[in-house]
Amino acid sequence: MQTLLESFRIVLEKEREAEKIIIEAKERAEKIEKEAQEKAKEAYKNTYQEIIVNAKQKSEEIKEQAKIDAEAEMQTITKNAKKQKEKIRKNAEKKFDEAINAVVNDIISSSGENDGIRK
Amino acid sequence: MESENKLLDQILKDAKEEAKTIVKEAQRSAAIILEKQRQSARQSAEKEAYSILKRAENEAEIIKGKVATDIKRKANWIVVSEKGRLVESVLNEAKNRLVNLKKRQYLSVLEKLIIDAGIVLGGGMLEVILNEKDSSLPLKINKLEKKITDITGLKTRLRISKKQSKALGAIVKIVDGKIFVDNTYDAIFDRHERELKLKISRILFSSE
Repeated sequence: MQTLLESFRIVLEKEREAEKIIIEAKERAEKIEKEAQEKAKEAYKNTYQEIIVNAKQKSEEIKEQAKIDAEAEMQTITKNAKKQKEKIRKNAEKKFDEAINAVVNDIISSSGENDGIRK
Repeated sequence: MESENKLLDQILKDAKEEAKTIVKEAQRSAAIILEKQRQSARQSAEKEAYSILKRAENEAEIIKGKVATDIKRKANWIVVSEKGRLVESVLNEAKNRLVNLKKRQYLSVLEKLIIDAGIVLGGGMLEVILNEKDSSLPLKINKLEKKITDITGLKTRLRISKKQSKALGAIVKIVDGKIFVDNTYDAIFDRHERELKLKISRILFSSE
């Protein structure tokens, strides 16, 4: 039969053992939180960078697309202008003689206007 | 004895439970810290990302606007320069035709140029400067003098100058005076360039 003292000692031992388990748990918890702080800093940096990098990439894409669109618009407008130029040339050529005759007649008939006088 | 053992087991069991709770709580707290930081990073980064994208959109608009302005100017230039080229072609061809008029036709034009200049000068004693070739043309001087006299009311005498020009057409000046009328083709073209170009443009580019 155990003495009361013996029993008390055994309980005390178990209490110490229990206390050690708690202390170890607290230490582990402290380590977890400390690591979490470090990880959080890293996570902040990574998340921030990831979003900025994506934004920069998207920004480049927007500008690149603008250049592509502008280039396409340029091609279309230039093509249309060249078509218009051809149309103007063809129509004008039909009236070339009329225009030349008008100039010749004008020169022959308007030479005596007063603006020819010089000092 | 059995109840004593149970008590001892319970002490350890409780301690292990508590330890488990402590660790779990720390892990939960760590997860919250991590998520909060991620959330905070997202919020800050999204503000900057918005600025970056807005800036890119503005730049894109500027690129489009600049290109649009440049290309419209270029397109306009393509059309305008072609019109200019066509107008110049007509002017050059007209000059060509005037230069290559048949002798009889040219003589009549030259006489008209002299009469017109004489009228502008108001008649009187006038000197006519021609190019070398035109100086030898059979101009009807008397007829020209009469016509100028009739219109101006001042008796007119025309004298072919010994001085010669190089241009087609005539320069008529008051004898002993500094006033003259330059009715050479080049001078007439210069004087009427703007209106001639306008007239040519109307003929060539009217939509009819």
